[in-house]
Amino acid sequence: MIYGHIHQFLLRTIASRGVISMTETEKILNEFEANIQASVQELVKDINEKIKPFEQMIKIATDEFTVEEVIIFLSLGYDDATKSQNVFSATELEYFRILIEQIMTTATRQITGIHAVNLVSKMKSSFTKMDAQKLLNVWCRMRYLDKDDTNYALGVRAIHEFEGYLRQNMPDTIEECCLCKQIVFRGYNCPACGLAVHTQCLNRYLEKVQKWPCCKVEFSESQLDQLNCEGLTQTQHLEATQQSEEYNTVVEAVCDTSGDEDQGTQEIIPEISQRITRKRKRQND
Amino acid sequence: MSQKRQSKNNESLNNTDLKSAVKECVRYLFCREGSKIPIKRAEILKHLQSVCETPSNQVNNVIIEANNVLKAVYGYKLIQVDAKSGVQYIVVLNEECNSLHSTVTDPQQRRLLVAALTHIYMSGGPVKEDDMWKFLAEAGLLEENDYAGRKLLINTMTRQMYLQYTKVGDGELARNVFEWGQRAIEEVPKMYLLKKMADAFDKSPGHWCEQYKEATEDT
Repeated sequence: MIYGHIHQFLLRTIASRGVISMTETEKILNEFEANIQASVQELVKDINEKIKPFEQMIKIATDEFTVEEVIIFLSLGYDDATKSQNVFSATELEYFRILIEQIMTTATRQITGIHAVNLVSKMKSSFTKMDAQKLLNVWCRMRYLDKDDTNYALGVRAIHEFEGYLRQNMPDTIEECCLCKQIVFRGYNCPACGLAVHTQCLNRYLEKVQKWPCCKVEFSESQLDQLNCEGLTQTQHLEATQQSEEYNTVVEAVCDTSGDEDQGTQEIIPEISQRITRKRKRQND
Repeated sequence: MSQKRQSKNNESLNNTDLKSAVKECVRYLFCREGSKIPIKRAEILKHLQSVCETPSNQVNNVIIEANNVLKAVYGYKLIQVDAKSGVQYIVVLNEECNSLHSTVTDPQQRRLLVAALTHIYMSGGPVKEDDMWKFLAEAGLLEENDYAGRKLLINTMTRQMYLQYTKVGDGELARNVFEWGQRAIEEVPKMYLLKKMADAFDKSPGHWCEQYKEATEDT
């Protein structure tokens, strides 16, 4: 099929949304034009040929957790051009880096919501927890993060987009799965020997033997729960509880309403808290 | 070094240099487009000079070529905007598209924008600031004292050129009004908004004859 309107429309849609499920893509395309003469796969192949020179790519992959087929827009270069983006500020990106590093170095590859907002204390620039919570919501929508009831883990977009970046820039934070040798974004470190393994690989292995694949120690579900609880090391835990006793209730309230409808009413809160920090700073000066 | 530059300036860019400069320019424009904030020509120039040493007399050619690539690959085009601080560009849809694709970063913001644009369009002219706030409050989109939300319209959306926010009149009669910004004029189809209205009020788009005329003349 000759490269045209439909390709451009699909490319723009995926690029602006970041990740779209295959079923939704088909729906959007059908609304755009009836009886398209090519499959999504063929369209994606044509588009990829066109955008390759610009270090972009559309990838069809399976989301490890929802097990749905998704289409992801990937921007692969890391240079002056990609750094010139101004959707996120330098401060926001600093928070993102710290967040990813924390998730990747935690044994369960996920951190609690409270821990996530408390990471602002590790930042050089000043950044409020409210701002952090707003960003976490945005990144979840962009599928850079995934959130279950309480924990944040890396989302399907981050997993595919940042593999190269992490290998290059944070080699210390990545570990390969002891079964498939791919980077573990979603998985566990064995409680006995510490080797990393994907959740999916582990589950497949457990169907046959109830042992950890790495060192053959007996496996039980309770070990995973325990790992989840140990997600925070002792000191971090202390830090977190000290800092956030009051804040917890607020964060939880925000998390609960993270459905978009309420966003507007929350907008005013960070404004106020920002003003407060600024004022305090001046007094200190 | 200076000799090299000199010779580069004198002859036109050889083909590979031009190609890589165009490629770099497209990538730069695409990365900057995300925020919808106009891109200064000076910033493009600076980027091209630092990354591929493009001589300044070639920059216009590179931008023209990059615009062609944007049209062919993405269906976007560059629009030149003259601002006080110099020439700027915005990246907009090459042809109007019947569906507005949603942005994930802030769906609430998108709802506000569509409501504001529709209100201006249905009013048939510039809308006074106070009227806009009243409308958005009645529509349940922006609470009456939500000043941070108002800033989104006054600052963010105006900067992104979806809206235009200007002061009219002098002294006591001075008022701020909202109008469609250049980006909205370029890429938001009026018929799309009218159809949304029609759906909401269970009427046909032709019910609003002036708006309908405007929308059909546009395309």
